[in-house]
Amino acid sequence: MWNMLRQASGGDISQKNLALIEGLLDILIEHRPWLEKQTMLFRAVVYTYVRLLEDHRSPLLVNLRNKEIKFIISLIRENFIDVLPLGRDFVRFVYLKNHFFFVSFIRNFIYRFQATAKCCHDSRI
Amino acid sequence: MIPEFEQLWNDILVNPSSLLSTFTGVWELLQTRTSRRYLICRLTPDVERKLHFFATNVRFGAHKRYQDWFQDKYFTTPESHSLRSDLIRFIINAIHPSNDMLSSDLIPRWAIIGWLITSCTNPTALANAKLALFYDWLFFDPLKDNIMNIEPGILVMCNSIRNHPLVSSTLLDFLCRIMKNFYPQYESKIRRGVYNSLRKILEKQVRPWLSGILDKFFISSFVLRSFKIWLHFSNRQNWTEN
Repeated sequence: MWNMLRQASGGDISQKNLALIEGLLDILIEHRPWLEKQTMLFRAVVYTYVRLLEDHRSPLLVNLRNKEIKFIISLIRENFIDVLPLGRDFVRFVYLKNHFFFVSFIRNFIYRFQATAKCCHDSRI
Repeated sequence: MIPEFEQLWNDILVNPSSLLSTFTGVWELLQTRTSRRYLICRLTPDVERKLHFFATNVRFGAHKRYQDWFQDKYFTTPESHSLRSDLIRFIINAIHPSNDMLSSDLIPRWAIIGWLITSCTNPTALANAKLALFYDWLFFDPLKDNIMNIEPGILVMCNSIRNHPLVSSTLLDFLCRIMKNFYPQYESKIRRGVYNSLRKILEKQVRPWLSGILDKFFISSFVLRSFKIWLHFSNRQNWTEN
């Protein structure tokens, strides 16, 4: 299962990869009591699907996305003690899902910086 | 926004005991370094093998063709850029070269990360990649954390000054702003983390001094001034505490 999970690639929304992600999700949902006893695999599943959610923003993927959200949120809330060792990179994914302003703030300062750089360049000329 | 994750984030911040009676809050999670086992699990074995080969077998100077191969295979679609932050977290946490490798002519980690950042064309993925690069700086504890996790950040900034000054300055700009904006309630703790990172970098002589680097930056005077003032302030605060 661990090796199959690794094949569910991030940054890839091809039909083949999505079929693997959804197929694995269905197996995990069906065997949830077993999954909750495999601590390391459980953490890898939470980490993987919290990460993969980032790629599934398209309206075409709404069914898969909703299924992922429902399963993962329930896993996290009911087994939070097992989620704790996932640490700061788990927080990074949850943080990014709640801070779209973070992206706009970064964009703003990139534009502002480019404008400043252009001004300095022009003044040198 | 995903309402379920918004609610989860809110509980982690405001009501941590609702998740687990012994859970004290988000800082507890942020102080725990994620095991490399889980970072590796976000790369397919194929990507891991290629990246590992790239970092441990390719000479600096002869790396262009490997980058092009990698680019052509894994970064062809717009959504594939999100893989960059996974790769950066993997390189920072899981590829720790030996002293022999560091003194050899192999491509250094900072050059691979610099390439991953500069070749990114998606602004969201770019911001995430920069956060991935500096993420360990924000919570750096000299007693628990490893210098190898913060070394690529300073080296990308320093070694890009000559040929890519904009890369260096935007990264420093990013670092200054993320300290303040990542989570305002923990601003002082995050500043302490970045300050501890810089002290460790000086102590371990990754860079023997920082002032020259700051002076060379082609950066808006506001950011440079605020960074210098902040460094000065942190220094004074440190003396007072000691």
